[in-house]
Amino acid sequence: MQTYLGGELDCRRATVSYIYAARYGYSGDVLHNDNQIRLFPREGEGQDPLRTRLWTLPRGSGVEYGDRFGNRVRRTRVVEPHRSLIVATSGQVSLSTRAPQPADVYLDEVKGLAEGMEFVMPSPLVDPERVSALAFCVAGASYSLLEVAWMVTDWVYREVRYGRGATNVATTADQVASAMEGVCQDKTHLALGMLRALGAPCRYASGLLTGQTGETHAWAEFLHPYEGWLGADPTRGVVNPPARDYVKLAVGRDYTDVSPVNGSFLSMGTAAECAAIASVEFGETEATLDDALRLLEGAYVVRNV
Amino acid sequence: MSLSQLDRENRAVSAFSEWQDSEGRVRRHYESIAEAVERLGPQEMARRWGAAGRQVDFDAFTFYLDPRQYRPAPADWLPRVIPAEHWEVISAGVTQRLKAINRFLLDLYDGEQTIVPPEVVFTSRYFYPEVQGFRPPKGVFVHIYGIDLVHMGEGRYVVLEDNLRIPSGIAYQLKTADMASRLFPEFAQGYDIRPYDIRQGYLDMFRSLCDVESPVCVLLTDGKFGSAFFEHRCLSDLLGIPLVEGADLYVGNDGRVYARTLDRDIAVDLIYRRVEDLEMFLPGLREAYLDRKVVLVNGIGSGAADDKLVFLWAPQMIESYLGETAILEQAKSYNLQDAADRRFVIENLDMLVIKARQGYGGLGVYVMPDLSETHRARVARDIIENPEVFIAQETLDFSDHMVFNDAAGALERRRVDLRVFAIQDGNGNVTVFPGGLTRVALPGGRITNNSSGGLCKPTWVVS
Amino acid sequence: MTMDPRTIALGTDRWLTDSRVYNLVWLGRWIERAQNIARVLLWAAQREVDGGAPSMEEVLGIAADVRGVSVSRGESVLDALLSRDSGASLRGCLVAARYNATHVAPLEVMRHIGGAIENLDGSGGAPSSPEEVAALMRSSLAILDDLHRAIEESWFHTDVISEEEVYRRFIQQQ
Repeated sequence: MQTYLGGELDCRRATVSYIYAARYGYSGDVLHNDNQIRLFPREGEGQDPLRTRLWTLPRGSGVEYGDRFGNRVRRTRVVEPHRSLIVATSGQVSLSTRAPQPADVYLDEVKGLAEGMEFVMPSPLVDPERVSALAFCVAGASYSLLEVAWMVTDWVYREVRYGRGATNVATTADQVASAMEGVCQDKTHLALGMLRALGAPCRYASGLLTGQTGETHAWAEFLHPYEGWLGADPTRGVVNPPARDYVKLAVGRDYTDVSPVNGSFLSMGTAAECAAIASVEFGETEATLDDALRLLEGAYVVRNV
Repeated sequence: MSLSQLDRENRAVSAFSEWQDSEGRVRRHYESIAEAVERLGPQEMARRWGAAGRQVDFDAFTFYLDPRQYRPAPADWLPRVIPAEHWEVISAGVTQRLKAINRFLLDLYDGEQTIVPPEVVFTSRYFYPEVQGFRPPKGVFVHIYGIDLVHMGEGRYVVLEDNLRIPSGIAYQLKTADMASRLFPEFAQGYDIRPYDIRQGYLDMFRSLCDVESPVCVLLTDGKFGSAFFEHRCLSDLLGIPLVEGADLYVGNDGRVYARTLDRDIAVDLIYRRVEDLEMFLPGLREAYLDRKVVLVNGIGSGAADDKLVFLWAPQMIESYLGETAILEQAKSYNLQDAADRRFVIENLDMLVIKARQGYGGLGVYVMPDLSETHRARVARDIIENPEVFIAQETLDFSDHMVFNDAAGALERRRVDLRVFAIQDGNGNVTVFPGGLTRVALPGGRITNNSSGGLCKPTWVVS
Repeated sequence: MTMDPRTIALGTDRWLTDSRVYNLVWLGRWIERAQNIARVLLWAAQREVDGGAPSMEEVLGIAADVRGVSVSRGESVLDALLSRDSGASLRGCLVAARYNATHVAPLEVMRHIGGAIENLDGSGGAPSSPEEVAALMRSSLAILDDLHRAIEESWFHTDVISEEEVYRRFIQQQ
């Protein structure tokens, strides 16, 4: 866990600088590439973006808007023929170092909340019905929200092996439950399915882990009637972590709502490879596009996507 | 032979029949056609229907569902008659709507629009960010407009959909009316049918958009296997403008668009395009358009307003841009991304029509009351999982009309809608062509689109 | 031709663009193929009617071989040459020609192609006896002759451009 706070005077806030870069390679010329990019830090819940920048290579034209989950989205259409598309972003974010102090409540108290209605229903990758037996085995005896959140998070953290190869971006929660192996995205989907099966509204959050260079991260958030959305990270085995742990980029019902770059392209070829990397440091350093491109050179490349 | 014998079952399909009143008496403006039908009798009617079908086949009056399957466009030749007083309302309503939508598009791309929430309009598949800051020639995005209406009875017409990208059907309107008048002259006797001139209207509109005296215009088609290729060919003949495919055009070094012909390459001033994905058909065309080297009909980006979700805000567009209240009602629609609307939809799913936001031609339209239990459950699951892809609309009990079933030798009642076409020229003048294309749903159904197997019907406005 | 492009812009559709040339050439090719198949069928059927050997079936087998038409087990050679859904059959050639015609040909020409297809379809089931085949081919060839006349009478044969030029341009495109 990070303890260095970069000489901050206000120990309740920490400022971090992040870079995220991704490259998509194609086997043929792409004539147009239309994408919705969700790579801007969210505002609120202990997180305040100070400055954000986004580039695409080749350059495209775009508009910005908020989606229905409150994520800031840039829609960009690149119409210059290209064989690889680079999306890069950087910025500084001020994060709260303190976690909320939620009171425990009965699970029934969150069941009727209008805000959570959408987040107990099935979504494309998470069908609560298919993991409900498992959920009741693990936490069916609990009636309180925090206890359920803890039990599910802890169970997924301990029982599901962390590993790649068994899953991909389209793996559903029930498939994770039978493979019992996966990356942060899969663990999150399984935890979401179990929490929803128990009646707790919860959503998928994606972002970057602070103080690290590597991949993007994903975790769950469950709805608390007084404190709003609280984190539950089944990859790290933590419930209610402080905002300081992450740069939160997007939330949704599951991965399909928050994928960082999502769209369609027109080409005789196919998508051939993909590489992405993120870095978050404490402190206020201004990163340029060149910094992002340098960082991208060290990224792990996935071929034949 | 009497009409009651022709109309053997006369089972009510809708609460309102175009043809007869609730007591089964033929309405006044259909009396003369009804008499002609009785005079002809079922044998002669069936014979004429067969002859007309043969001509449809021979003339390649087609609408392809499967590109490799030659398919004559199915038609019913009993005309639909719209009384002049109904038409005045439709015409004024369509004009108003077209003007307001065009104003909205101008503000959306080159100004500030505050009517439709950004998360709605910016996610539309046919919103093109690269058009931002661009004002189309003479300020017209939507030159050719097709609006889908249904008649609820007594002159109450309700809008179901706007078609703003490459609306098709006007040649079907023309061809069915033209064939009906030649093959069934007795139907037209005693009617004062309102005339219209599509050729003159289109060519004047094309000229008004160009700065040159006599512009070079072409019609860009997606080729002879496209579903509405008949219309492309027919309009090219009617307007006297060359029919070109993407491969016939190229963008020259000077940025202008040229057509390759046997003798020389000819610079093109205006492209009446009947394809949506222009990049695929002609790389560089969009840049030429944005550089004002060529005029496109309709403009790139007009589709942002034909998204079925953006449709919800059309009445506000009319109020805000024209300071008028909407003359035509529109089907009450629900935004599934709105929490209250979504709850209403989920609770009342069985009574609604679910439509894919960006579907067209009846694809992705689910009339829930007409579906089976299992099919309904599948759609319900789909909209819960992907609320951003769908909208919900009230199910309307719209009018039916008599259709002659030549196999049975009898008349039967089937639902009809009405697609009306209007054009807007460079001076902002709107022309609505009297009549339109009446499309007939399959027996018992509500979906009328030709892509879903519906029939065309000649349509007259009479004084 | 030294016409000012602007004067021909509105009021004519007679530009010979690549796609027009393509469809014109293929229209001609398909009709020619259809005529050849009809002539072979007529000749083979007539031989048998006149009592000559070999039989129609045998002659057609040779014809199919020459044209590279493979005949699967259980399928008659006659069906393969007459109505199979491919460019190797008489009907297939006419259907393909009709698609090209929808792009370039005047109504009159399209109607004759429609008539030729109707003539094949409307004969009340597939012909089997040599007499039936001969009669059907005679009527088909008569319609195809009318079709040729319609093409010759319509603008796109006589106007501005010779067949050789169209063909030359087509070859250049390939």
